Amino acid sequence: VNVVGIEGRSAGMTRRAFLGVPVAALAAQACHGGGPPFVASDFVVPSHSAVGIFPAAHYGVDLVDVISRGLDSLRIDVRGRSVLLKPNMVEYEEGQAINTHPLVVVGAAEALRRAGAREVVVGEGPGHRRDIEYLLASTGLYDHLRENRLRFVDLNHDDVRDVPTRSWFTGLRSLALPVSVLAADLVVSLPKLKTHHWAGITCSMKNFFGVVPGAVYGWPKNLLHFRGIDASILDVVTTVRPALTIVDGVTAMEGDGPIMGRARPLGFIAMGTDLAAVDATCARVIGLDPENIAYLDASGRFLGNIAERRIDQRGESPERYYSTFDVVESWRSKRLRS
Amino acid sequence: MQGASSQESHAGRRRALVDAAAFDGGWPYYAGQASRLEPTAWAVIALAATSDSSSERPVSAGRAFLRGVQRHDGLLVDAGTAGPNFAWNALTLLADVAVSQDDPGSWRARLVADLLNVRGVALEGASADIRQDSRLRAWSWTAGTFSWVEPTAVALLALKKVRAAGAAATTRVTEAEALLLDRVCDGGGWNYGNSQVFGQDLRPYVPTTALALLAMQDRRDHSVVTRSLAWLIAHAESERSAMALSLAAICLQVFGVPTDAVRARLLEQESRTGFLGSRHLAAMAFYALTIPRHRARTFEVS
Repeated sequence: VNVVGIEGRSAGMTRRAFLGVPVAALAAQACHGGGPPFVASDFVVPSHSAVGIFPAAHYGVDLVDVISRGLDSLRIDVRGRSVLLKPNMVEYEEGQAINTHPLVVVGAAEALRRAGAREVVVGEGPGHRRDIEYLLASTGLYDHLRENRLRFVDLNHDDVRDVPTRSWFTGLRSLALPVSVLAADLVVSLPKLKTHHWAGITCSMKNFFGVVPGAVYGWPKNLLHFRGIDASILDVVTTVRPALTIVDGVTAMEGDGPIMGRARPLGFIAMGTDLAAVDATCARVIGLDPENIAYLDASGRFLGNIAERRIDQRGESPERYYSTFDVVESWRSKRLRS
Repeated sequence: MQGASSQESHAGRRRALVDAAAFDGGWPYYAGQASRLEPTAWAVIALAATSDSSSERPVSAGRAFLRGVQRHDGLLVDAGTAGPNFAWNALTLLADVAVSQDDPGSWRARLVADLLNVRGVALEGASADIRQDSRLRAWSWTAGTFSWVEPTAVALLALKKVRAAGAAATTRVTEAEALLLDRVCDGGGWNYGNSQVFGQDLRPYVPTTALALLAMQDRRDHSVVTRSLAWLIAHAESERSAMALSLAAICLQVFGVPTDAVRARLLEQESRTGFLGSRHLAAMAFYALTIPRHRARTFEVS
């Protein structure tokens, strides 16, 4: 049971509202009997969602303190809960900002421990490189995990259990998911903020491709690409039900992300329990319109708040960090700022 | 690396691997988990290649586990999963041959027949952002998806190893080789998938390059193979992990290149990470570390 799930549903959402653009393309794939591809009563979107932006100029700052203040500010209660932290680890290139920084991972773990979490484990199932030992060692995360006595779960090779999906934008009615993810009281997304050449942005929600086990679905989680990246993001997130996100926006990636882009310092940690709201805020920060990002736009209609007026900012104002990230050609016309 | 202490270490590794077997005869990825195809196949390959009296029973039980998960259509499926992983099916074929040439119940014949039947999806009119022939169809990881380097390489190697014959085999081998040649990176070697996206060349990796070279070992005069082998020789120690170093050592051995330095790195890695406690990685590493004894013949295509 997640202590802070994505709960609630948007009252009075009409079929017309749901089938907006570009959601229509997503919904059309999987609508059954003319309705949306989920049971509306399963989702309740609160009237407002809190999103915190907390300064962290570089990785040398006390990230435990930054994240602890974020937990306090957002009133996240993890006492007695088991937590699975899901960082974003994809590939390793020296000097590149591809993966969640190890200091953010261990900083989040320590902050959650201090906040009373019963157990904190780190789990990832890289979508590109299946050589997890190489990724852990080369990124330095392996040494940090040992130093901090943190257990790591290789989600690509964990035992799996078939669970029904809570939405079916992909048409998939079930997914085999790692038992460690299903058993955790709280699943926390720990993404790196990056542009994504297909999806526009990869942040809290897209990060969950990494819980889909490669040993079952192959690499690079190819079934999800075939079913549609945007649709898959929605189905995986609704099914996993992450409770919280802590975004590594200290150094982000622009350009041809999520692998071949360039590092771009931003200097903050973003946090929130509404992943759609956090990702929408991060999209605005890097100069992308959330309503032009299909999975975020769809999320805003049943899963969370993406409209600025429904997001209560905590910590710093996001405007302070507003930038115009370089993106691949197909995304240039969709930017908020030129 | 072949002294008395090394032999004792190998005996310890073999004992640890034997002890890690589950009650059902298979091996899990990690302790306490369910037995799965890939770790069981690697454990069987490693123990069969270094067989002594202590490993005969676990090898036979492992082989029985692998044979026991065959579906009526010939393919093998891990418990609790919806469909077959074609790379693990091909790897299991290699493991079965490593144990014995005998094929009781035509198990292997049925597996080969079905591996020949499954193909990755072709992408007509694929994105111009990717420089490759997306119409080529070889092996995907799972049904209904695109062909990738790793499952294609393992399937191609396994089919060559069992000398799959007939028109279907010839067609599949030809197209799989074409796919690997198409996906090679500019400077040689293979990424796991594309060689270039959005105008940027992607870089090759050690494990995928080693597997693709093993699959193409009978085409060693081809310029792509010579270029990729040169890349692997230059980068064999660059990725520190059981998977990368083990596959590099196996591949180099098959191509007649000395493996001492790579195996030395593998020993260092074992000390550093203990291969994360992974049974699967421990089995791969045990096989690679004992190359002087078995010469990696399991992966040799004659």
